[in-house]
Amino acid sequence: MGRLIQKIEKGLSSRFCRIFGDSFTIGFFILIVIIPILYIFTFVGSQWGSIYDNVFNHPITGDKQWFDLLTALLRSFEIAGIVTIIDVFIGLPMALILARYNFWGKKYIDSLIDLPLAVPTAALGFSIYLFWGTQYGISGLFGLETGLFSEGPLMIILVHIVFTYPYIVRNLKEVILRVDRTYEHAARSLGASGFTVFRTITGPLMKEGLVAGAILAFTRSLGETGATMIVFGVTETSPIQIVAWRELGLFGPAAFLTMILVLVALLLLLLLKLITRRVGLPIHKVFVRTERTLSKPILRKTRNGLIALIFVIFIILPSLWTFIYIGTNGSAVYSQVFLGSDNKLAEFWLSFTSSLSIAGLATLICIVLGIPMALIIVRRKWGKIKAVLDALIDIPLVIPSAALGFSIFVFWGTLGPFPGGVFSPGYWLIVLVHIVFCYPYMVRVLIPIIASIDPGYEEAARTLGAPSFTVFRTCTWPLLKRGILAGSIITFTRSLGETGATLVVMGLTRTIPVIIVDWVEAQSLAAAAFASVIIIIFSYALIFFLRKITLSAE
Amino acid sequence: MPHIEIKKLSKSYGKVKAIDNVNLEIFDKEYLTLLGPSGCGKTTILRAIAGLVQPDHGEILFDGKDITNLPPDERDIGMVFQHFMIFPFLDVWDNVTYPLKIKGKSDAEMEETAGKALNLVGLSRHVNEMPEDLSAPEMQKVGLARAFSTGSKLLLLDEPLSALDTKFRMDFQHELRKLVKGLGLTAIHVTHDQSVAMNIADRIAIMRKGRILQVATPMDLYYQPNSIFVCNFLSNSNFIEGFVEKQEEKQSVVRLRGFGPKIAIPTDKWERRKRLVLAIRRNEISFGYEVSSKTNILNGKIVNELFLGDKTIFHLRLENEDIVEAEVLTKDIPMSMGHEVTLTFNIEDVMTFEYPDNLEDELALE
Repeated sequence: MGRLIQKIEKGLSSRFCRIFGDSFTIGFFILIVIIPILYIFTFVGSQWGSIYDNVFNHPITGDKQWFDLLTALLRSFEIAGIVTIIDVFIGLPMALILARYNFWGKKYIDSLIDLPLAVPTAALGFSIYLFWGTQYGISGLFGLETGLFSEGPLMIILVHIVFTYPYIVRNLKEVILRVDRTYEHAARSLGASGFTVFRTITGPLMKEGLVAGAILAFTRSLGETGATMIVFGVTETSPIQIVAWRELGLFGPAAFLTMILVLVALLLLLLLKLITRRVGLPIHKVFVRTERTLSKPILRKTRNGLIALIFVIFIILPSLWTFIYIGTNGSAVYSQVFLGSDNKLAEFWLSFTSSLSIAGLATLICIVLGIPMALIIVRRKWGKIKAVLDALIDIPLVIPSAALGFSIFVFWGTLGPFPGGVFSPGYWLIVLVHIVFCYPYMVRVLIPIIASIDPGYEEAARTLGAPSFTVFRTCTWPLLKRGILAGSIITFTRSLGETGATLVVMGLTRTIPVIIVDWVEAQSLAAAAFASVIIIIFSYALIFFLRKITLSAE
Repeated sequence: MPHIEIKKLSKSYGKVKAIDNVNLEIFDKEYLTLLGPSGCGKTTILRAIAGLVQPDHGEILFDGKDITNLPPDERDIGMVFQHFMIFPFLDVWDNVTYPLKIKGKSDAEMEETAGKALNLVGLSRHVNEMPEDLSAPEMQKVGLARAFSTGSKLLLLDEPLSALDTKFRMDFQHELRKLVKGLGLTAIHVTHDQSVAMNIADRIAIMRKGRILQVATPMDLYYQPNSIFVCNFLSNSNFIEGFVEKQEEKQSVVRLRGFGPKIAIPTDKWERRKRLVLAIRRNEISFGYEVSSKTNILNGKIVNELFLGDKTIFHLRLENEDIVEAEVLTKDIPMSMGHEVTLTFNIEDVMTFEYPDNLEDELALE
């Protein structure tokens, strides 16, 4: 037996197997991940005539589609812009507090920040909708019969802030922790007040992280579907427009909008890779008096208090409001879920199992194909090709998932390059789409871990007589295990929480975020709350577990 | 102008007392070094003077004014750091003008002050370079120029030389002292390097475990250390145990332990039977040709020799089995291993200390 394994591994270590493995990994990446996303350009190009007629020159609606498209696009940008600016204003102080202060309960706040990252945005959006938009929320405390706000742009912004906030805070916190404080001490000793130091020294030292976090938050907001579905009212954003057009069978306009969104996303990615290093902050003028006043301890304390208050009222309380709703409306939940004639429990159970099996399958495939990709990017000495792969990996991260889903739907379906189509909407197409947008998460988690493994261990194993595959199994794998577990959990929760792309390709299959959206639309709030709470607990438990792993690894 | 008084200053980190009830006075235009092994609290004192550390107790006075609770930016100081801390995103000129810019000084004023500061350190030709293009000594010169351009008369230096190569360190330390004296600054310089402290300072404050043991000129510290630790920290000495056998006028006789040989010491302050530690610097011992009433004589056998080039260190075993080390110019010695030799040293050069509770601890250099 041992002999056999030895033989097999020797065979797997051969030059042929290595070349085959590399080609397969890259081939899979190009064919399954990249080409279907970029296919939308070919599609729009080849169908330009009919798309043009549909969008700009429809016999009945004229250029209404174009007008709608433009409105939605501009609105999306506006919302993403406003959200990002607010994020920076409330996220920067929070990042500073978490990076620089020690206080009781810091640990808990730190893990609460991650909550919106872990939870499916549909569940999150629903919770926030309950809080601001219904009589079961904050307005109930004042005895009002309706919600404080109605669905629309304001509530979209409130929701988007919640789930983009962690990106800003996490990014900035890491960057602030990396800033050498002695630079600040030097500036203080040279006569700069606390605020001046922050503006002229800390600022420039952390600007790359700030810009990266802001771009990330912007792309998130631009591409979000699940939560937006719940609170948009009549204010359609671009991803929602794609979903709507797809449902109406208006493939032409949907394809056109998808192409624009993919283009925008690629530009943002380019921006992220290139421009972050070149953004300057002004230190030409110093307002000595004002800045000294701003440095007063009392102002700092006020600021910290204010940030904590905003965090509780606008982020945490709305995110967790579903729990309070369930606590106070238990009987309604019970009757809707367990006693209703439409058997919501069975529907929930069915979509729950599909969600789990889709997430599980997608994660498994991402593990199998993500490890060799990460190894290639870190270890192979291919120069330019490696850099290109490294840049391409991030593409699915920045593209709005509804656009991503639509492009893949077109590629594999009857409209695509394969006659008759390969996959029709349904379970397997969902799995495929989830693999595509989860893949970068897995690879991105693995890259730094592989990079941190000292190749000396592997060299030592080679000198001891192990062929390269055996080295991987006996030496690299044990060092990598924790990273793979971490990557799997992130991939799994991503897949579990995705809405936009799933809506486009789901056919008759339902996942949990989708039924939450469905039930809210059908005004079955109690049942939606039930589904939300279960998925929130489930995801948060996973993330909690993830933190345990990564913390004990340090 | 800056005259600094530190009164009963204490600071703890958790259970560790970084500085423990420290009193210190630094006079105007004085160059003082805080010297001690790492972790002795010297940096904490400097940072407390700068306002970067808030002490638990005690106060710090600048020219009689209590500044203990003032933030660093309102203290009027200039500070130089071990790892330079030249802002990496600003060029040399912007680094040096930083303290002027943040105080809203006019362009003309900036040109003049920063230009002068850069001129002093000899970096006028590097104004447009980025920190990453500078060598370590150049970086530290920028650090110095930046501190000068604050216009402060107080210069705080936190191990400013220890990130530089030995070769540059010598030149730099002379230049540093010359600049400080030329500008009439008060300088407080933290270092763990005895030779730097000896070379550069007017006075040295020696610290250990959060306390100041002795403050004196380099000469006084070397010849009149007030403790075994100070003596051991500043010179290579032999520490041998003995008991006072006889008190005479201005002299006493000590017998080394184990009924060893007798040594005369230049003091009559210790009573009979007192247990002492005698310290004799390695380089004060010579192989005896000249004997007078002012010298001690010992007999020993060479058991080991360490050749250092111009000098050689001998290990000599005395009759009571104590080992004594002697550092001798190599060209002066005809002897080698196994020889019996006569050692001489001046009575005046024998330092005496009360035998401590824990000699090993006193001799530990930490």
